[in-house]
Amino acid sequence: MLALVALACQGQVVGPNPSGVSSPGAAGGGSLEPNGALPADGIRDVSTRCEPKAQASAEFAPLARLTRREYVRTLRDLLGVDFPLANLQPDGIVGLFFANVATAVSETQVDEYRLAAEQVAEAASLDPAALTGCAPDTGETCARSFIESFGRRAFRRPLSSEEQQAYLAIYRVGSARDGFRGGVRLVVTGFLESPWFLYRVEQAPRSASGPVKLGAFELAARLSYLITGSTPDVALLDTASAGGLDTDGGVSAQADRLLASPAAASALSAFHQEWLKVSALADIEKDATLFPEWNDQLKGAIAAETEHFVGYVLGQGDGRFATLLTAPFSVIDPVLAPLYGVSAPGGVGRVEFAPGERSGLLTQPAFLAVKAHDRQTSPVRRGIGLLQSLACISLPPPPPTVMANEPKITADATTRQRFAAHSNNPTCAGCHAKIDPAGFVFESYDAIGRYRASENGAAIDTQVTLVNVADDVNGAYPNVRALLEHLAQSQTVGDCYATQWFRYALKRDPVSRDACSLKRMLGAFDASQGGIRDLVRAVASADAFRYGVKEAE
Amino acid sequence: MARPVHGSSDAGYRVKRRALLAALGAISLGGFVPRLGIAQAKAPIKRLVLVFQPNGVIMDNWRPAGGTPAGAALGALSPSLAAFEPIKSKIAVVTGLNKKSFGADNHQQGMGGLWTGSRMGPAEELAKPAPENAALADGMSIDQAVAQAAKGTTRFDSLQFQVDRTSSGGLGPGWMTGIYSGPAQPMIGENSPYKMFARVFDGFAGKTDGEAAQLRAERQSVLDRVATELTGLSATLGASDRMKLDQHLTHVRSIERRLVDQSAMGPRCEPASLQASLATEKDPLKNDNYPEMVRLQTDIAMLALGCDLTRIVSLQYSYSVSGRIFNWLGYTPPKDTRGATDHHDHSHDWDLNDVSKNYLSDIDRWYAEQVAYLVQSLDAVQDGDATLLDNTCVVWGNEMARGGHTLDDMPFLVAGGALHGMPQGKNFDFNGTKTMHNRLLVSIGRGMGLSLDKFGTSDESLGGLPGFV
Repeated sequence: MLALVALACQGQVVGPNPSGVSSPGAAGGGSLEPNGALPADGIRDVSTRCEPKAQASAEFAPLARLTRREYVRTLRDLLGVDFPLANLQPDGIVGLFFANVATAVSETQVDEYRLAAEQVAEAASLDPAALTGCAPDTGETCARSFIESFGRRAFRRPLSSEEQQAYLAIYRVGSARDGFRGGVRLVVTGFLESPWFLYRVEQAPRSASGPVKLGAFELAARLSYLITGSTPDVALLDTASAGGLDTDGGVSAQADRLLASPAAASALSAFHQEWLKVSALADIEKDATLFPEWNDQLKGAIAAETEHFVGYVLGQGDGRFATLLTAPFSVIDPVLAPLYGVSAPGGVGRVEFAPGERSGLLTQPAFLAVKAHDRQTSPVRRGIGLLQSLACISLPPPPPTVMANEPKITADATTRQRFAAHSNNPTCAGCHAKIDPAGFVFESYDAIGRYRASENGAAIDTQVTLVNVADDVNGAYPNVRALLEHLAQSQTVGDCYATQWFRYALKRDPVSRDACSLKRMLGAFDASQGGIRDLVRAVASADAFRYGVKEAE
Repeated sequence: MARPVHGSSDAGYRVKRRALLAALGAISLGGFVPRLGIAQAKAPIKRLVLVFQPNGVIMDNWRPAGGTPAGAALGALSPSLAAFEPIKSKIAVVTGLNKKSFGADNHQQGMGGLWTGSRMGPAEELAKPAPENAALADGMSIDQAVAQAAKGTTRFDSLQFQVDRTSSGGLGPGWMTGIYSGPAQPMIGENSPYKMFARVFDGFAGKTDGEAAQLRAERQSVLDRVATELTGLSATLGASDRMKLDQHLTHVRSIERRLVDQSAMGPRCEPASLQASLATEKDPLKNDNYPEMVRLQTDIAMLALGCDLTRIVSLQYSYSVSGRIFNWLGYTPPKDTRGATDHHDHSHDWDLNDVSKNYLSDIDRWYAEQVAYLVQSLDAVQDGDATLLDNTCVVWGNEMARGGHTLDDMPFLVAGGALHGMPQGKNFDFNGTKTMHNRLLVSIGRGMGLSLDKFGTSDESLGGLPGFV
């Protein structure tokens, strides 16, 4: 039993293998099976002719329906309407990220989209002149130009004349009620129920054999959803129209432009929220006696911190991944100041922490509170979170025969002492020898992320020794700051982070055919000393991102 | 007092006709009213309701004494099921069934396997921890098998009501629903009664004939266009994507059909009776709104059944690993050994002490009251020569057996369904017989007219549950 469990707990390495274990025959790129797993000895050892386009790395990308966040942001950008995210069905997942690629919609969902389209169109067309930019009495002339311009944005490509005629017919049906306004309302409703709006359609690769470049508008949509989390703006569509995305330089220029936009900060923050799974925060409740300050306002401020902080590091800051993991400062709403024990900034502002107290994203309350129980911390959740997100190690759930209970709270022991039962129990020890140290190191933060030096009168012990993770991760660390400073420089962690971006951008796991794309991403990430924008730019220019293939029949 | 509506009871029909038409008029539909199906209903109509409660039960207080594998007469009810006392001649309690785990997390397998009887997969997803585990059930659920066989009979082939769901990605979709339209095709229900009401009664309430006709024309024009686009697009895609768009198109067609065929709105349609409680929208996900949401969704479901807008309903009260805190039991929820007050956390302490045991038993009793309310309400409606309950098979299940997170000794309660051949006033206890719950699914399907020998991931054609159809 013990052997089995221990074996099972090698975990599943997703992405470049951080273990550094070499496997004969896998290196050398040219011999890779195109759809096989990534080479066991890591992407960096792929020794091929990774010239761009020489063997364009591309994989079939399943048709993706907008995620809830994409849907909401797209509506806001198109129509200035804020639609509540919670009113939509939950998304599917790919790894740590939300993605709707695996399953078809249900009838309930189609009805939800239909009702949402009607509501949003109603709200957006209250002032039809503002929406369409022309006087109401211009009637069909204006309707035609609105259909052309709005349709192009809603479909992320120009409309054919057949489509323009079809939506004009819809306009006429709608204008029977309330004239121009009614017509515009129904046209908008129609666009929002269309598959061209709800799905990110990519047709170019589907008729060809072998990898082909995505169409300019398809690439524009990929760029825009990757970098701004929303639909292409008019400038990007115009660039695509004018052939401006046909060259490497053109793609880079647009990627740079989008990366500099305010929307990028928010979308790049969203990546980090999904990556650390802190988007679950809204559902997290804490014990009201122990944590009376835990309320919706505080939760809102905690969630906002991730966005403020990531936005700051990417905007005013150095934009480096290492800073996300090691910053001894944050950017917070005054509501968060008491939890941090700092004096409140005037409005949202940067605060410095006492030396050694904090170290970037994983020591912010979002991660610490989500990965905790309602009365006590959870070294297990924190440890698994760190291993999943930073080392790309996906651990199996406990075997069905094991009751995975958190230990009872007792007044005479620290959490760490209570959780030590894991390593004393041989059934558990296989996995928990790996998990628990990665969680114990966070014991200096309580279940809502407050710093603490002691628990139940005993000093907090954050000394840990990581084992069986990866050669450049294993080792002894006195505290979380030392660990995260080390991880920020670890190649295993950097490679994992880049792979997470790949997964997020393409909504799939990388396969061996992607080795060259990944290798170039890692190269750009290294060369910029861990620059996040450089990494995102490298994703955007990777063959895997710009090429597609037809689905294998 | 049973209220006769259709079928053979002409006198009752005449008495109520005026009120009925008034009620129908209130929700629309001018010219379409004469096409009401009231007089046509000759053979009684079979209906199916699947009800879900999470986190297992305290079996000591749930299992009525005296059950046997052959089905004994149902004697004194257990404390947790006391709410069924007035209706116990029409229920069958079923304990001791086993569910296979297939190596998945028991909450997840219990949820995905409850109505599908299928394994979860793929294996590489099962090997991941909850937040990134995208495993789904490998087969359709029994209600959907029935719905697909009777496609197009009513306005909605089926309706999925849900109360409470996690929205933030703490758990993968495999924990969220037990209803599947096919392998790996989960159907997550509508969790807002406000939106459900809008869906079911389609926004025609309070409209004049002219307005309703315009609205119908508008929707028709949009849906036509969407259908054209889906058809055109689907033809250009590969097999897996085509499947997604074809599913989408199927749903659009079905929405179109109900839009055009407003006449399929049967009798007993009194949405006005619910509109008052729906007037002020509350947050469906807020803990303390849970009882109200449960009641509203249940009422809308019954209305949809009574109106014959659908014959197949699933009512999912919360979801696997539900963390609802039961602040409405008349006392402050106690803390478990870890200090938590929520349902799931307490369920881990099910056998540790009386604090958790009593709280969990009260939770079980509360859920029983909700199901008993549904069952008794259905029994209060005359349906031909019988009651709506007699013609409706209600099955109440749980994703697991006890808080101990085991999948053997699963608790089920079957209510009504006399027309389906379901046992009435019986107490079945299959403990020790290693009887799989798939056989209950077979019986549910057979009761609804399907010809089945096995259902779900099951190699053996074992047939229905002994004592059932």
